[in-house]
Amino acid sequence: MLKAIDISHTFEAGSAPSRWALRSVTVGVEAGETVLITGPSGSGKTTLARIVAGLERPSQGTVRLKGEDLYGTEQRSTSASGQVAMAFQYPERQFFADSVWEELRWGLHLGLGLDEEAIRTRLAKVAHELDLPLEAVARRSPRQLSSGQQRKVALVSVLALEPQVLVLDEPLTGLNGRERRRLAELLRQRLRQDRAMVVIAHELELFLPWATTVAVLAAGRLVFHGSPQELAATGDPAVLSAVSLPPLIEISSSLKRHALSEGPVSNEVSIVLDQVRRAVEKRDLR
Amino acid sequence: MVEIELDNITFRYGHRRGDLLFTELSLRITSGEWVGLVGPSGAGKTTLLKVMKGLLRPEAGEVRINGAPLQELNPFAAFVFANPENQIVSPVVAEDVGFGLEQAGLDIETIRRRAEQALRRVGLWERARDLSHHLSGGEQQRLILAGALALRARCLLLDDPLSMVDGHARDDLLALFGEIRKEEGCTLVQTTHQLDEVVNVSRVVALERGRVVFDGPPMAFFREDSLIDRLGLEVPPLVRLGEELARANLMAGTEIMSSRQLLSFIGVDEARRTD
Repeated sequence: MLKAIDISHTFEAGSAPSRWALRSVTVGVEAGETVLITGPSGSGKTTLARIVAGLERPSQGTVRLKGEDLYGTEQRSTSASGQVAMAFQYPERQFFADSVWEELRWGLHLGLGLDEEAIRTRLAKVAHELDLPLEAVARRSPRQLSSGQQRKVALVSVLALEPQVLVLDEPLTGLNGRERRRLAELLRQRLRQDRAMVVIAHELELFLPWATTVAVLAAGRLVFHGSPQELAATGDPAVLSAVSLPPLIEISSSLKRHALSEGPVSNEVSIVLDQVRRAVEKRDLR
Repeated sequence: MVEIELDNITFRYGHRRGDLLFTELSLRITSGEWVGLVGPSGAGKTTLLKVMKGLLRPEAGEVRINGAPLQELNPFAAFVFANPENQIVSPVVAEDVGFGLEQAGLDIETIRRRAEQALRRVGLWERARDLSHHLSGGEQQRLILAGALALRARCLLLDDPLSMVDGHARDDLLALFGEIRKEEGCTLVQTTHQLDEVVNVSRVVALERGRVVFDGPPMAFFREDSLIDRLGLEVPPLVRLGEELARANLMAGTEIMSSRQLLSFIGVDEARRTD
């Protein structure tokens, strides 16, 4: 559905290729799939997200949406036509209106041309799913809200657009533990057969269980591209220095690689507990 | 030494009765503590931090720093905002770190030395000459942290300082917080949304609708299952595993280990970092 092919990008024309933000990165996502992009701060995740969202023309390479070159023509607004929508890492950067309601209404009204009734229904539904008290905040300025509520407003505004490709840059920042789990679960549920999702996140424990593929960036290069299972099982130091696996997965995976556990790599306390217990027994036998 | 006392403070953003955020809230933070401030979004964590810095004034009650009522800005505390974009002032990374020192009238050599040291501590020294707005969110958070460290403030007020910092850098910065507290006696108050960031703090203070609903060490907090659930927080899985291992007599006490410590306890040593 969406494919970024051999993308290289620099913000400083003429700089040495070793300093480029992205170098020869190829990632793609099909309908019904989610690709998780992760890696250390500064590895190029946000830049890649902006490029696939149609917001930043790459210095080299092409982005194809359903086969069409996203940057093929000069005047092209992909978000307005409802094809790709991106939620930014900083909600404030996304906000432009004086009230939450205007903020949320804008894209649905101008972008999708929905009438007031349809806008109301759609926003009420998504706000409810995200536990955003829409009535209470509708007339306030989005900038006055707490960071968690700002995040929710930003997410409601893009989720309500129901784009074909949803690009989310660190969507869980500013949210609490349970809100994070709930939002990740909600995103999983909302993923429909005809839609695709690109998620930039470092909370691997919440996305690894259901992401289709994982792309790991380090210093602008793709150092891993594969399934979550392959990532959990990897012993590649270059990958392991770029991502911090959830602690239980790290333990479970490590025990397996050292032949101290036969079971599946897991993130469940009870399963990993059992694996550790057996590993200690094995160690004592040696 | 810095001691912060909030004495019966009342605060609201609007004017109506329903806008009350804190009513007669009292909290005393003593020198050298590392306080993890947790609670649901909108509970008042950021507001409380701003009151401690003097950025916001309570409508009733008193804020005292080392016994003296806070009149203007808290001179001992450096504040790190949740959104680094709001705090970055200079286009170049190293200049941004030096900005506060320059304002304080320090000489150029001292500024250079301290900026370098601070940038090294947050792992950003290689980016010193880069443009601040080319940094990623996580790097910008590290940048403003470096700015605060360079000031050598005796107290750091950190508003969700690691929210965009990922993976290993996050572990390194948490270790750094512990270090500056131990070695420099710095007082730290840190808000967070993730309980794995408070595993090593000296004290957890939980806020709910403007009230302190828990105040004690992290291990005691982690046992408050129903409260943690009500606050929308989650006990870190590694803490749970540690408790279970202790219960099964596989580990002494409920000491929380990192995943690597646990692995080396079992006899597996993982070489991970290549940097």
